[in-house]
Amino acid sequence: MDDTARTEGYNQKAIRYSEYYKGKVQIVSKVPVRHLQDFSVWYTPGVAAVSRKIAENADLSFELTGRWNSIAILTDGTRVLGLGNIGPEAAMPVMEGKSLIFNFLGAVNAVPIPIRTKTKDEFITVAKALEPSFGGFNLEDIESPKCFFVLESLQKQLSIPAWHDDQLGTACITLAGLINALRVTGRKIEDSRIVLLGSGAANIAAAHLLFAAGFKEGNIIMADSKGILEPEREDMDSLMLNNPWKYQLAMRTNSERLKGPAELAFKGADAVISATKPGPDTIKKDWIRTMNDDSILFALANPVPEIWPEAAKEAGAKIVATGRSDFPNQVNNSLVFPGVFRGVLDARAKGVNFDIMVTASYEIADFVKDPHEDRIVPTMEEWELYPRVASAVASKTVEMGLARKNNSREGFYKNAEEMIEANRKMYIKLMDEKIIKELPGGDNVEK
Amino acid sequence: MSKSELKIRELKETDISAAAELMLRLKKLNGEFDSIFNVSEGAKAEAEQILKDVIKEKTKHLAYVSERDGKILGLIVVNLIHRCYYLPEIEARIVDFYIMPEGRRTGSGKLLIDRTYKELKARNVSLITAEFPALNPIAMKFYKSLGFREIVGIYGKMLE
Repeated sequence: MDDTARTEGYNQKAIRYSEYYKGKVQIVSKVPVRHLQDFSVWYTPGVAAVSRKIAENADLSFELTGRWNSIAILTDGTRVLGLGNIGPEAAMPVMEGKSLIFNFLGAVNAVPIPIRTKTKDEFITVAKALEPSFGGFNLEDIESPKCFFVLESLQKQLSIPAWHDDQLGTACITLAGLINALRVTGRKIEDSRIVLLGSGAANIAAAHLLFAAGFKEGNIIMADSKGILEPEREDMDSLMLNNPWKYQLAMRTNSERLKGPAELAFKGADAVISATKPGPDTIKKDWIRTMNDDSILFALANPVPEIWPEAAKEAGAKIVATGRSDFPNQVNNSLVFPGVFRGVLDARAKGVNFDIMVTASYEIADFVKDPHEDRIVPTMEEWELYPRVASAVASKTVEMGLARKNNSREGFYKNAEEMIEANRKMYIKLMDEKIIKELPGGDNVEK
Repeated sequence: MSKSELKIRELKETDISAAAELMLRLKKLNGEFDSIFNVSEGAKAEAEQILKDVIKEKTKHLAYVSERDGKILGLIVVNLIHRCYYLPEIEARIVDFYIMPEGRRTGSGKLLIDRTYKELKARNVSLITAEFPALNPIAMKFYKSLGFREIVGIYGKMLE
């Protein structure tokens, strides 16, 4: 089946199933209700005693309520998938899907909350108002550069972790893949020359994460549709005013002050991380030929990578990664966010930062035993990955002084593993009992 | 790699092309703040002509550049204007002042200002002003930090 036919098949099913199930997630209670008298404990009058305790110490909301395991998936619907600014209502199916993955892989209660806000300040006001209900925020599908401002402000102002998956999740799995790609090709982080092609949310975050991981700032070259980013580029003043994050990176990266069209940056590069527009002709074979031997290419555009992996390999790339599951080396956020959130929630974290993310990336990279050119990252089916990432993240959170709750690495691992396992059992049970209804029209038999 | 020293010196004939480039960037920056400063196609040639006049007529203008490794990184152009009705008679007005991105927040702007002050003092000029778009908060902050205050307002609108 070709790509278009397969995509059309998914589209039709998605509509049909959405009509049938009318939403993908719901709140399920976790306490026994034997008879209605139990409500005297779960609700009034008994519950008032619990409220009084929390009123005296707000941090007890992480221990006496479900706050510790609840996050909000916040979006204003301004940049949903490749669909653009389709508004908060239309963003909901995507946020519900994200919530499902958070829960299925990380046992996190993720509440999808698309909000109708116009300005970045309004978004921040709403997010801050929601803080008391949650142990973390996952920001999703917010347009650039608004997303940088919102994330930066929330990370400063909140005492729970704020994560923007399009930035941080993508950067984290990119670094994990890059670590193993460098191992496979015998390169050192401090000597490697990395090109970040495309300077949107993912690569701007990737640049900061690479700095935190020990890559030399000057060895990183960023480029966008206007060419290589450097301090003398004509549009620098416009960037200073409209996208200061990109402006700052223009100063810090590219120490040799290379100028000109993006393809010039390929020359002598060890790795190119591309997050630009869908291919297959966005990156040319000729450009890859100018890279160093055994070059590394991440072509992350969806649904079609900037160049087909086979073509990239013909042009000399040793390792090629894409965003797709039908090629080797799928650089996929879902390998990151369920474990990272399991970890920060288990540590009752006050925040998350690049050092914690570097730890998560190494844990994901190290999870792959004997990496080779077709296996630099794990796959989503490898269940042990999530508690491993969770415990690494939780321990690092403790080390950084950002945890409200302490535990050993093993303790965090065991806790995360049990939670994820128990959650899986619940899914299986609910499906076996047909409380989660079978797919309509006999689709359930299909594997 | 240690950077060599930043030099402040007078604008020369040979700087004109590079300095006009900086002036053009400044005009485009003005346009970023306010669409009323929409840069014309002939702006670069006009900037070069103005700089030539500036160099020629030293009694009416001051112009300094900051330079590192032979590269112009900053420019200040000051017009000396005769004031009608008021004292002091001469006003030194900064009309163009631009620092390349890498030179910002390094004190190099202040060095250009200091050099200007020094020359004005030597010429017994006691009033300095600066002209910039009302919607440019960066310039406003910079001049306020140097003790400047708002003294003239120019209001405008596009006619239908």
